[in-house]
Amino acid sequence: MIYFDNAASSFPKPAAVSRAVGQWLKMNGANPGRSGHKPALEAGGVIFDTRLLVCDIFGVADPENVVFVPNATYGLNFLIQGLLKPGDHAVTTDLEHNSVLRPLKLLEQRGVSFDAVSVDLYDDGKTVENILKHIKSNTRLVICTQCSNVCGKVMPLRDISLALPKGVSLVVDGAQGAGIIPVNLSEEGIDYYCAPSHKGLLGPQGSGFIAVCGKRPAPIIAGGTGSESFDLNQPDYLPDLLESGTLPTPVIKGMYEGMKFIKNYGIDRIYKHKLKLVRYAVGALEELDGVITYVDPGRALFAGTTCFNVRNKDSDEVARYLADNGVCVRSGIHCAPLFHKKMGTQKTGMVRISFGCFNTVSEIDIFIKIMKKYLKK
Amino acid sequence: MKLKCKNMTHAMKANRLLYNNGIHSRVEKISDDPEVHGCVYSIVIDDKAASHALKIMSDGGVQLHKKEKIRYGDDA
Repeated sequence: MIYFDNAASSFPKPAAVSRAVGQWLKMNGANPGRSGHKPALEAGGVIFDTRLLVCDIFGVADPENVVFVPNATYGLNFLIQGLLKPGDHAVTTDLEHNSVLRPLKLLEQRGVSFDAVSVDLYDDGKTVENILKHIKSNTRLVICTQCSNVCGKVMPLRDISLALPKGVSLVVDGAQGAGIIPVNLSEEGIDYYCAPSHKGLLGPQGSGFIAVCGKRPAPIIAGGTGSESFDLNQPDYLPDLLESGTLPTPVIKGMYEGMKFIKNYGIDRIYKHKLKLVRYAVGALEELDGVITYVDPGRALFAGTTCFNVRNKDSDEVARYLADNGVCVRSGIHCAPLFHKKMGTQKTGMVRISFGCFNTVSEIDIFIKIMKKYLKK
Repeated sequence: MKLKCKNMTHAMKANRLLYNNGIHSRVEKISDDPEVHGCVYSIVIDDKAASHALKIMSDGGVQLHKKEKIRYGDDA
């Protein structure tokens, strides 16, 4: 099997991840932050050490500002719904996933407005200009992906953060960037960042984090935190403010091991490897008669994801053929409706190939051979 | 010396900070203090290292529980 669907969920995971999750489940089922026995304190240690590692990799000042959430969608909801109030305005982009667009649409019913501005795939200055043009006196947030989940475009986060006026915070959806593109939140002026465990961080599905570097969002979920138990109000300090209920320690343990792997291996190295693969793949696809590619990863900053179509074919049909021949890709709209409108592919969708750090050039060669067979059909 | 921390995160933060500075400590859940309710954790430090430990914790931003009598700057 050739796995080119790492933007959905990375595979394979480093051996240390599955080993750590398995061992944890076998040896320790305790709840972190509640009881006082040794397994519970060990579980608390795992959670805390993972917060520390997030701080180290992403440039977050304080471990208490790292909040664990089930995935990036939950994280974005915590931030978008917790920071925007009736009357507020937000700016986002046409590269966003529905994990950003749907919470914003939901908030429209509560008196929040938003604009989704066009990203110029090859001119970052124009993108920043487009964002600034839509900032109003009541704009509170700019919400922006770190990297498109369909075409791999890397957003100019530092330029955006530097250009934003005072009072407008930057929320970054790191679902496609965490562990793939180096980022330092403190240095780049990013106020809020969230990422899942199961993509570039090489951990299991079921967890993720928010890093809160700006003011604290209002909680949208309340419940038991272990702390201040007689107070019926949610604690007003992080991480307890946003972390109700039992955390998934085995998953977080796996996330820790995944992050340790990428830290030791080097995110820079991972990025270069994926960029090499994506450029090679796009170059090879462009030579195939009947294949349409949509972006040129040599012209601007792109990460290890790209998309294509076969002329007059639905993307699902191509993906099915590839799957039947052992290549895992994703077809369709990829929960990014505005990007497909931008590219005119609402009807056909696109075939997305997304590389992981364990993919190789020879796997791309096999994929291209299979594509050639498909095109001859 | 036993110091009640704001929550488990701060108790663990104290523990790791002290460890990195060569001071042994342990995290304990408070079970014998009528003043606190819920899951409150303390950091237990050898009395001999208390003064140095308080400085490290204060510099590192470890927050103490509101019912903790010792504040940073107090003599341990």
